[in-house]
Amino acid sequence: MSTLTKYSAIPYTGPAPTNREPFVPADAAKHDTRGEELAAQLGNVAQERGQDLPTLVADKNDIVNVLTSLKTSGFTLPLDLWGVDYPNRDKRFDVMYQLYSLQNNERVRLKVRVGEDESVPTTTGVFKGYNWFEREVFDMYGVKFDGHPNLRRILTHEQFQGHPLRKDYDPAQRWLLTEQGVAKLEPKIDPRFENVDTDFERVTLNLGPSHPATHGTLRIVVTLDGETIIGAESEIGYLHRCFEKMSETHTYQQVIPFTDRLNYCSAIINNVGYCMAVEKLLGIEAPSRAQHIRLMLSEFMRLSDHIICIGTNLVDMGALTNFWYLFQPREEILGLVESCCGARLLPSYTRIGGMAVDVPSNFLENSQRLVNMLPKFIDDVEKLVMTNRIFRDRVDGVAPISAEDALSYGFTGPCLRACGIPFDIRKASPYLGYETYDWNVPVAEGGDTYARFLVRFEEMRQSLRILQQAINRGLPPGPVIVDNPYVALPPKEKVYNEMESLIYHFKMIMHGIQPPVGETYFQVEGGNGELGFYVVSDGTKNPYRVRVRPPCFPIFEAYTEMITGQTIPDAIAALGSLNIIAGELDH
Amino acid sequence: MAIGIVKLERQTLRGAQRLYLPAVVSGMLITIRHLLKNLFNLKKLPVISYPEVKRVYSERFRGRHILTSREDGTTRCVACYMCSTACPAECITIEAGEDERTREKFPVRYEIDLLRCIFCGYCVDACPEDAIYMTRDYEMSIDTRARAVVGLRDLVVPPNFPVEPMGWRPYYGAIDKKGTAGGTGIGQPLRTAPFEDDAPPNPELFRGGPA
Amino acid sequence: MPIQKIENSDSIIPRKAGVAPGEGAEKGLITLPGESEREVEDLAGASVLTTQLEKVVDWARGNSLWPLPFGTACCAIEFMSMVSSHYDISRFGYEVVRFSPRQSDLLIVAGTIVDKIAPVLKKIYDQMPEPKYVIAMGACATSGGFYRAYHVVQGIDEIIPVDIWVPGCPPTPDGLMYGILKLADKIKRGEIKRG
Repeated sequence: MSTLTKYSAIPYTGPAPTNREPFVPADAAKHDTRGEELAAQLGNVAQERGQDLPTLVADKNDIVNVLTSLKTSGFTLPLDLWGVDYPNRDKRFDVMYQLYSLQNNERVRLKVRVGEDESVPTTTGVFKGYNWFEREVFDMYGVKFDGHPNLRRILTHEQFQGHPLRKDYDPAQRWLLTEQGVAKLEPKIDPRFENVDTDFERVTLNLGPSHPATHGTLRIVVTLDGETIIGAESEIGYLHRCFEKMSETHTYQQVIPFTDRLNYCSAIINNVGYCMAVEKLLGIEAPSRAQHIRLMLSEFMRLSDHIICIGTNLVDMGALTNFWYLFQPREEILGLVESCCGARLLPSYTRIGGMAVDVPSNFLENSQRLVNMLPKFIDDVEKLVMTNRIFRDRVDGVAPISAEDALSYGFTGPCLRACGIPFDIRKASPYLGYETYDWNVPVAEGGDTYARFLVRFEEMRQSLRILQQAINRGLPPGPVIVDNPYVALPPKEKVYNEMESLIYHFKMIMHGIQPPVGETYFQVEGGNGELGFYVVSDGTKNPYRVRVRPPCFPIFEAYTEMITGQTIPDAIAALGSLNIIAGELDH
Repeated sequence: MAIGIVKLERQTLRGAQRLYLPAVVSGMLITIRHLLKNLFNLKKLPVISYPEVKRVYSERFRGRHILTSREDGTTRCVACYMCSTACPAECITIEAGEDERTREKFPVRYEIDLLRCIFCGYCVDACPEDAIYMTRDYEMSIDTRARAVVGLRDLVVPPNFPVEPMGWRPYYGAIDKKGTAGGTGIGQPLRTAPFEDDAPPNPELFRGGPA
Repeated sequence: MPIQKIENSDSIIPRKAGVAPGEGAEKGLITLPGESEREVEDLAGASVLTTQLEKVVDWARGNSLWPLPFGTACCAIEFMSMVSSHYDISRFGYEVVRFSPRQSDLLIVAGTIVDKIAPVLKKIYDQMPEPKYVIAMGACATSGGFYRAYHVVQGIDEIIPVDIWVPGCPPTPDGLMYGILKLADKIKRGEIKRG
């Protein structure tokens, strides 16, 4: 009830964000200077000013050299590669690259402008992770990449025609896939096993999209020599739900339920990431109460995500008890989320500018009960498995990946921390107040399944630490959403009684939020790593482009390399430990 | 980022841990402890034995929709199309008609396709007339596809519908002092805390006090 | 009507006494039309012995469903919740979750079906032996949900016949359980005749 005193009968007189001034972030000057330095260092790149990251524009023929020099000067993590379509421009496609430097904790964005029938040289030689990203840009836009080893569609099916994310593609135009059209995959044999004794027949096995142990719809085709996997190829896109196209046909507010369904195990984190990206574009900040609630629920959802990952991974290895033991507190977490906003798994709880409704009065009590309840279950599961010889034989040394390979692929999150690299967005670029809490980033060595287990167990404990501190601080008083009628719906009490609130309400529903023209990128730490949202606004009520950087996309890309030389049970144990969520992978 | 990192040690199994049996025994101790705890505490089992026992969802639960009515029996809905515009799934179909006596619009046809609906609650947030609410009903399975499109006959509830079975409601919605859904609008005093459990929070946990 | 809550101090989830299945929604709320009407099949011409045998067979089939969760997306997580401690489908005997179509009879399609996986779903359905039943769970499987998009099948009844549709996004585990019990009810009452 204290929230009502903030609102008064005096109408809002601030500037409406529905202005046509383009979006210029507050720290643009800093990024401009850094961009100048980089441009001077690299030589033949132009610079785009007024962005929220140092942005360089390169010519398509130079892109390989530019990326190589950036890599040697410290930008070793290839975060993302995506495209944007500007059909009115001469060179309609913008192929964008984003790199991250671990030493200096900075990002850089590169743009390459290509026309309709032009092609870009492939950058898979520089960063291994760009293999699948380039396939995705080819699939969605039709931009070809010269020299790519395997340029074919990745997300849409084999008989799909056209390139869906182009602006002239009708969102509802479907193409049917017949059974005969399904691609037959022939995995390439890994060079290490080329000259293995060929007296035995090599079997090609399809771990198909409907499989108890592939979590969600993933397809892996392996060539076996006896029990050893000598070649593997994977296929994704079995849950491509066209999030990016749907976000162009819906308003900013309506995209929030779509973001829920990306990483459905930890849905609030996606909501928070998207809302904070749009809030950055609008130049507003959610009230501190909303930020506190967002932080607490993000950590609960992170716990839920890790519980699902560990639980289902252990089920695949045959240890069913842990699944029951872990899902019991998870139900209580979902009960807490349900008491806040009405839906258990896919809350759509955040709104742009804050939260939809305030938390109930017993939120902190229930959170405290949960924080007291969870360690018992986590301890039980840890005691059951971590010193168990059977479990250790199944996970020690299984599907290892070296730190250099992990960086080259673009790993982030627990899988990268299991290789020994302490990169966590919550420490590197803190948001929601994470820097004010006392917690640690767990790091393990080895990069194999055992290390990933260690990291996930410890991350759950660190999340519980953050939650306990958050509960001790209590919820800051105040409103849960900004007091700006161009961004948030006015409270119903005023809509029913006051004329101007009713008109603000109508305008919000019919015309939506109209952010200033511009582009922005915001990243949060999802359950799997860096979840980034790149939002382009053209001033209308629908976003022009929303790009989600899925953290498990590069991780699954590396999977086939991780399992060659191992056996099928190892492959299954490793797949569970990577926590591949198909909703996020196929966005 | 040297601060704030905890390096996890890979523990190699030594001695007795390398045998299979000690781990089996210690694991069984944990599971037998759970078994005995559950066996002697049958009342505290987490199982909700649906359908003999049902879960009480919170008062913000997003279940099936209802359209409320005014005191005189007319529906509150004025077919303004706010809900169908706000719906991300485009599952609400409205056809408006005009009432000659009062010059108010009312819905001649109001249909929600329950199979398309994603139960996000945006329609409830968008309604300016306090008309559409969501209840705590989740038992909606059907065996004939046509029954999924619910119309006015299934959505409209009589006036003075009790607050109890209701779920997601317009925030700061008009739950008046009597506890029934909706005041008549202008001039009606509204409760300041729309959800029943929005009582003043425990001051111990609420640092800083009310603003 | 005050809700009489059943106390369970270990859980933050409140619960109350419910009603048996088949009684429709609780009193005080509207039921969907036709809930209480059941079409009784015309059994003229069948002898007593065969109808009694059919009743026993139907009762057996309804009580021993083996689900195949064709779980693609978020609804699969809610299915996992239903199999877990709080909702526990094994109270009805349906916890024998077999991922092989040859060994199961209830196909629960949980999650979005996209055009790329549609042939796979059709193949799985074809591989299941009769009698088989299909439950479409969630908004995406029943009708495509809010994905009116270029890659999403707008409801699995484009591909396979469906017996029960469960709305919700995702349906709560008890909502899904209501759907499964409704299907079991129909089977036991003999309303679904399969080979």
